[in-house]
Amino acid sequence: MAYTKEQLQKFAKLIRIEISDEKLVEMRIDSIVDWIDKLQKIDTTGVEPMLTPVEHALPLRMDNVTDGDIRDAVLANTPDDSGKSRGYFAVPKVMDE
Amino acid sequence: MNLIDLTLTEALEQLRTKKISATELTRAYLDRTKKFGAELNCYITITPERALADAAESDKRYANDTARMLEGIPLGMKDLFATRGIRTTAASKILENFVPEYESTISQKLADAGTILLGKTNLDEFAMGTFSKTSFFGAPVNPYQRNHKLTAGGSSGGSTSAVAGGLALIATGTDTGGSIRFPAAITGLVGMKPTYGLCSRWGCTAFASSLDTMGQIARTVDDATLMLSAMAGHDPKDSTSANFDFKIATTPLNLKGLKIGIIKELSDVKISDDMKNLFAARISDLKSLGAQIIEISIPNILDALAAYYIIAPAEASSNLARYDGMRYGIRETGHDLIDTYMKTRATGFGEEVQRRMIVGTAVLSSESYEVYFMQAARVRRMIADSFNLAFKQCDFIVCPSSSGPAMPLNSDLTPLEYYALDLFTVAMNLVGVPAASVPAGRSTDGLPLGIQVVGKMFDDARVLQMAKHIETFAGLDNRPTSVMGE
Repeated sequence: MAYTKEQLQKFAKLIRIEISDEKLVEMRIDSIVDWIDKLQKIDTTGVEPMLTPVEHALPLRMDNVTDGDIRDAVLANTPDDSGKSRGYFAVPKVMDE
Repeated sequence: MNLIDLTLTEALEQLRTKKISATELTRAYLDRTKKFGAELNCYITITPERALADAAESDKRYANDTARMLEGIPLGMKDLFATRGIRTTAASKILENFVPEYESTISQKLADAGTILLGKTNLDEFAMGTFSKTSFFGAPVNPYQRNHKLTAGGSSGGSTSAVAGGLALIATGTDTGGSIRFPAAITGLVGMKPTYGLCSRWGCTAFASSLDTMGQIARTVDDATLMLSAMAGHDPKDSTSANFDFKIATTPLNLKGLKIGIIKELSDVKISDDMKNLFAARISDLKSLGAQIIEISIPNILDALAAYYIIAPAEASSNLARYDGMRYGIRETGHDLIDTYMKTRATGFGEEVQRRMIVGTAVLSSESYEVYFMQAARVRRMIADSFNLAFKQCDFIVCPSSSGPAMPLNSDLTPLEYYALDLFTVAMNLVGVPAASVPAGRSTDGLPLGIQVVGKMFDDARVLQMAKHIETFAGLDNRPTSVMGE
């Protein structure tokens, strides 16, 4: 399955990466897609997809808060620390006037 | 004898009998890092003050008989593991100045075992690569034949460069598709991808969560075994970590009556003559100890690579969504919020990471999900079923770790040619089984090559025992002073 330039730009936009058409071509994503296409030839009828190698039962725990009171630690690495002293992340405006 | 040449086991013995102190040992490593660190580029961040303080603490513990399992052992930590108060970058610009407020389980366990952290080792950006060239901080260099500037492998290339060069006694690695075993093989070291679930992933930067495996890099099998015993164990913070009690085997593995499987489908893969010869030699060595060699079949093993390069990018594209420049990491301000995201991520991620995220998003898109992602997951199941079937016929599977030795860092390969280097290693990540790369010998031009021992789920201890036989036969001299001088 080949992807058009427009489709690739759509994917890049979906994952919020600004990229030029030239750079997309240089990345040779088409060569990777061509190559992974070889899996299409394998007959997998009736095969259950495998999403994890884990076979053991995943342990359950009570739905209790196990941390908390770590506000300053959560804010410690914020790239814009203008909201830090008040306990907020400062982010670009998301609503119009 | 030079302190740098002591193995982990030897160093512990000398520390316990007070022939050396942890401070002396740590200083020897710090001095060597001062001497060769810049040239090898194996560390992104070094922590000498903390190392010396910890070494003093270790010496106290040896003096008052409270020394722990790995007390005073200088350690390199792949810069993918979060370390509290110490910059953790994943070799990415987007995390260039990130200083975690928490500690990964593996680094905590190793600290609790008494190790001395020397620094954070270099790697491919977010562990995506095979030469460690995608690092924002430049590639680490292989200590072998330094004038040729060879790759130390990837993605754990800083760790292998450091241990092989004597800039760390042991080091952690992570292996999503071969990122411990390939670099260990081409630097003459033992590197292991334990069973998925044996070591906690908590606090380690996620790449592809169903494949990411934390593991160890050391100079000998005994050292790797000891290190793994400090790392293994259930962690309530990682629901995929298993409740399994890893125990070191104390007696050598008797090979009489054991069956070793050779994968039929790999016999047609083009590998270097040296690799072919060393592999045949080590197999006949194992035979001489009574092992029975049988041919087994993993019919889709050559499709593992394509399945991997669908599944790993898919998981990566969703794992890396968290780097949005809002709560941590760099932020590039744009004209609105979306533009800020777009610029932040375009600037913060390198080309290979961007490539994989675009591929990952493509294979997960509504029109491709069934065709690519689910088909890859079904092929993954077929490969896992074949391994299960094979392990009904044999105790271990043995195969080369790579097709050939370390290549020059300036090799100009296409993305697909880089991906192809993972051919011998990715299947074990898809399946989850343990696999250790152990030195097999040297190529005719003097470069180390490795062989993998693959075992059943949670048979890690015996995998290491089997690797030890190969190590003994290979007899590779990997003392750092003989690899790269005093």
